[in-house]
Formats: sequence, C-alpha cells, structure tokens
Amino acid sequence: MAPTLPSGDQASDQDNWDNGRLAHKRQLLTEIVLRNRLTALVVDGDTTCRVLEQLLLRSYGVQTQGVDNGRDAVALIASGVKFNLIIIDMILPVLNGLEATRQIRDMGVHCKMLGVTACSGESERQAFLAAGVDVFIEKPLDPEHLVPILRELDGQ
Amino acid sequence: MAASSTDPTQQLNDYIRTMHDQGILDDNFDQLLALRREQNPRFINELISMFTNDAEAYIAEITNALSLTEVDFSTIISKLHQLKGSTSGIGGHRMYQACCELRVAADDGDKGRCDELFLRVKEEFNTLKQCLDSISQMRSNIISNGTRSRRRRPL
Repeated sequence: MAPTLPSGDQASDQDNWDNGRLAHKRQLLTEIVLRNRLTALVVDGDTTCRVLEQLLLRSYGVQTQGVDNGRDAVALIASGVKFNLIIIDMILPVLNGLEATRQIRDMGVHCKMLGVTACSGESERQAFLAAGVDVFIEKPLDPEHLVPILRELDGQ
Repeated sequence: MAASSTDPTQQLNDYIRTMHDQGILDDNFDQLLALRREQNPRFINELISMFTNDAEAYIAEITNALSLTEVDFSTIISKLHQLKGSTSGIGGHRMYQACCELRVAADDGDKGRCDELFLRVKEEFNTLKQCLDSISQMRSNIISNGTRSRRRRPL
C-alpha cells in the first residue's frame, strides 16, 4: 500500500522508506494541531535524549528550551521563566532530577512535569512521583504518551 | 513499477527490516524515521553520529570506573543510565537489553558480573554501530543521488 503523505507531495525516494509501522507513528505526529503556543523545558544530561525530546515536541509546534543538568533547570525556573511543561530525567549531573523536581515544586511551580527516565523500577517510579512529577514515563518519550498530555495542556 | 532489489530505497528498507528481525533495532528507530520528515534530510545521520560519539564516551568512562581498584559503581550507574536512555531513543533493542542487565549487576555491586555483562554491552554497541553506519551510508547515497537527479532536471 502506497504511503499517504499529509502534505500531498509526490512520494519521493525518501518518503518511500515508509512501511506499515511508520504509518501509525507518522499519523500521531500529524494528528493534532495545537491552538495555543505551548512552551516546554527539557532537562536531560544526555545530548541524544535531549535533542530527540525537543525535536518531538517541536514537531507538534511546542517551543522548547533544553538544559543538561538539574541545577541549571532550577536556576532557569527561579529566574522567572515560565513553561507549560517540564520534562525531566531522574539521574542528572550536578543536581539530580528528584531534588531538582522538589526544588521546582517548592518554588510554587504548578506546571505539568513529566519524569522521563531510563529508570524502570517501581521504587524509582514512586520516588519520582513523590518528588513532584505528575507522570512517570520510561524512556523514550513517545507520541502515544505525549499527544494526550499536549491536548490536555492545549485545553482540547 | 515495482521497486527492484537493486533499488537503493528498497535495499535500505530491506536492511532496516532485517535489523528489526534480528532484534538489533526496534520501533523506536521507526519513530526517528517518522520524525525525520519534519527535519532536514541529514537529520537522521547527524543523530546517529551524535549517539555513537556519546556512547563511545560513556563506554570509555564505564571502562575506567570498572578498572579502578575500588570500583566506582556510582559512576558506572550514572553513565549507564545515560547510555541506556540514548540507546532506547535511537532504537537499539539488543544493546538496551544488555545495558539493563549490566545495571542490575552494578546495583548489586558485583564486579565479576559487571565485567562479563559490560563485554556484552560493548559487543552489542559494535553491532549496533555497524548497523547504524550502514544505514547512514545508504541514506547518504540516496540523498546524493536525489540531489544529482534534481540538478539534471531542465529549468
């Protein structure tokens, strides 16, 4: 079955890389249109993860900023910059994600916080939720988890 | 007209499918491919390069931590966490599994088991790196051929 392209472009060689698995992923990338300009902070010590998460958010039109350690995340929030969404890893350089989350919540920040981490144990999940994240997601962040959250933030 | 087996695009598709069948890649790599349409054509190649460079650095740091007289399990866990995360993002299934097993050994403070499992992590990384390098090369060839084709079109 030939791939269906949302833009109506002719299928190029690159687009022909699609297969059945990609169709569903691509559909999730294009299925929502945000009415509001959302902003997100991505806090991850690993460059690949941080870039991927920012790219995924940007593909939905979310404006993003990224930092690679917990201390810089806390400092950025403390400086008054506001975000609709914070995505934070558990293990971070300088100041870990649990402590950074607590400090951000202690500042009275009530925005949606997603703990997106490679840690997969129940004790880690409970610890991250207790620290203040709203949702615990095992890496990698995927559209299936993200789209409903973006819809909720957008008031859809 | 059906794509022949010498068609570079079909060859790339077949190669990726084979990597899936062997468990080297998983659906998370497909997610990258779905994202790439929103980015520049070389985005995937740049991301692969970013991943392999960072992974090599993490592996070097873990090697060092394991070689100490008093093994630095804290550093091993920290670097392994990052390696595991980026590996899951790139879709390296078997390597991810190897990292998970090593994490258990590191949590237990078991040096002998860490040494054994770290060998497997490195083997799976080499396999994944070869796979990703092949994909990068095939993509580069397709992109270059596409550029040459467009230049030959009449104005």
